[in-house]
Amino acid sequence: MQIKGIGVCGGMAIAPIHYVESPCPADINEHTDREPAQLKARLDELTAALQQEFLSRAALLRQREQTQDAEMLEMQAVMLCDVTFQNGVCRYLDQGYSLAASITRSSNDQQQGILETEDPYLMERVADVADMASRLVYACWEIPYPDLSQLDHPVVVAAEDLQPSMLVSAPEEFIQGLVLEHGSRTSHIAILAAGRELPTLVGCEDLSALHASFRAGKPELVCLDADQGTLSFAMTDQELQQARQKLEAWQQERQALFVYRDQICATADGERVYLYGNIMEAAAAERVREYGGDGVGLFRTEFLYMNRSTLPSEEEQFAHYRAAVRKMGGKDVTIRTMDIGADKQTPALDLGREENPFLGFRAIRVCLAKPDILRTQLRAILRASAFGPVKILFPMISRMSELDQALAILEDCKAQLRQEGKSFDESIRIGIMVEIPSVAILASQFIQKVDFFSIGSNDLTQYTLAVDRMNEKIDYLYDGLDPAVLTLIRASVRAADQAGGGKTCGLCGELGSDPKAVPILLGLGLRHLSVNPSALLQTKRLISQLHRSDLERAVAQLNL
Amino acid sequence: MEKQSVTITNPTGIHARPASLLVSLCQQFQSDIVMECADSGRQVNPKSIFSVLSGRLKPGTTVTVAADGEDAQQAVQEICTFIEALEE
Repeated sequence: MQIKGIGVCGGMAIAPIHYVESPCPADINEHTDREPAQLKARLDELTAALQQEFLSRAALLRQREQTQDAEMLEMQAVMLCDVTFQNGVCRYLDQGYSLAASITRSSNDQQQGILETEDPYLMERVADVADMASRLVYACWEIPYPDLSQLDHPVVVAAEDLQPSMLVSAPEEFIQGLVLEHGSRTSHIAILAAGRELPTLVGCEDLSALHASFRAGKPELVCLDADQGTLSFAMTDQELQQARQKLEAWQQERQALFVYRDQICATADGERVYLYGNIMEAAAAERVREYGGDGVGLFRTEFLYMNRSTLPSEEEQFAHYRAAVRKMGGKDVTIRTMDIGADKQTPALDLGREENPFLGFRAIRVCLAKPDILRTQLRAILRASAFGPVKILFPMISRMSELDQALAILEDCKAQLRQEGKSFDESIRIGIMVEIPSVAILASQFIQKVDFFSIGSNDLTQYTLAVDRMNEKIDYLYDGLDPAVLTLIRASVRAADQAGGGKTCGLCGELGSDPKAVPILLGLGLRHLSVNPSALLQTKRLISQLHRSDLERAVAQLNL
Repeated sequence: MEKQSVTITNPTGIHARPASLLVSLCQQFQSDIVMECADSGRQVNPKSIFSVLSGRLKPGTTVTVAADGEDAQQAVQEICTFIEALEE
């Protein structure tokens, strides 16, 4: 039997399924004959135990520098012990409701109170209240709450949908893969999974057969192949054997790459190439370090803004950026200001529908129209630069006036921080993305005002060739190695080299890990590439096998 | 009974994180404490996170902090200082 889904992050896993059910609600009309006094004593016991659980999970997350997740658990502990909530439960107990019904009723009252404020900043707290109460109800039923905190053996996790917090606080070593009925590639859970290199499928067909097997206490053994986008189960012995062989080959291939981890990235004849990792969340910096990357070449911060109804505060962003900087332990972290708009929207910012979103209101254009958003982010990035080497990268610059405005705002933020006595790196390096042809064409002018370029090959290709990279009908026209695109890349590299003063030009798009493209890019003079962490080792191996003659030949064939 | 008025000025009001900080501050005091919004007369128990969250303590709201008990004076003073110092 086989189920299809959308692969988020490649890889394979063979393990029994662990189905995470959505929590079952309590019957709010359930009555009981038991003495309220007895139930109140029970409530006190359960409250104390659950409070302890929240706080010990929070302490663990703090150790891992997941400050924001820890704060959410601490907040839930406060909610649990809250006098208004607890008094509410007691009042319902006095009316003869069961403990589970009373907890749920009081929790509903508190959720209602928050909803009535109509304050968008508080809407996310409603889910935290519901989650807290649901855990208390399960404790009173004496049933383990359906989450991942109790895992003690390797599993492939399946669910209709999964709260990101559940994955974040689970014992990572036992989770071999993830399959979800809901979700898309850009949902929060998918981003977290990709950051952890967890083989993952989203948007799966019906998983009810697997759910049933788990419920019956006989979880199916499944084979998850995220590269193929398939989940196999009820396999014949032969199928299972084949799957195991494939998994073993995949693991050996990965193992073989690990010898490159501690090697300095250079060509076969010793030309140094700086190889960085692209990340979407601070935790993924761990992978970059694990694979021996030279730093984080691109921290895509837009994901801090997505899947939520409020904008992230300076403190919240600062905590994220500082966590990434600390994880990299002295290696560069390039933080790109948010690129919201086009295919990446958020309820926190209603940008409206557009006829032509990729040519529309996105990234730096949004930031310059709403400079408070940019200020908040720049202050957070600057403050993180006090903890290690940080570079700032502005996306979607198309004209000099935009760069001038962004730089002026940055200078403002620096002045403000100085006045407040908050420390940051005074010599922080500033760069822009080269993803709009206008910047590549005028590269020698733009480089005068910045310290580095980072070529976004995906968008540069799309904008140079006027090819929508999401449109399957014109897929064949989308080619990052088109001579026009390569000419723009070469112009950007030359402009940086000729400007001197240690100015650099790097590339952070998908082209950087394409085996066909790498010799050409190096041949054009690029010495800084940033790739997905999962491609770091194989790209390093490829580079280590290339000679100068290979690079020269690759470029000579192009007739640029 | 000690009383003092203070205006909330931080850009997002007393929500989420500031709210839980306020609650843990207030829980340190023995005194009974009430915060009353000047505009609506709504009363908030600052020792309860739910009372604070549903209290609509938005920027621009002026509240009167009243405390009754042995440490009332200190409570009122520290709460007002806390609210004035909020930045987030």
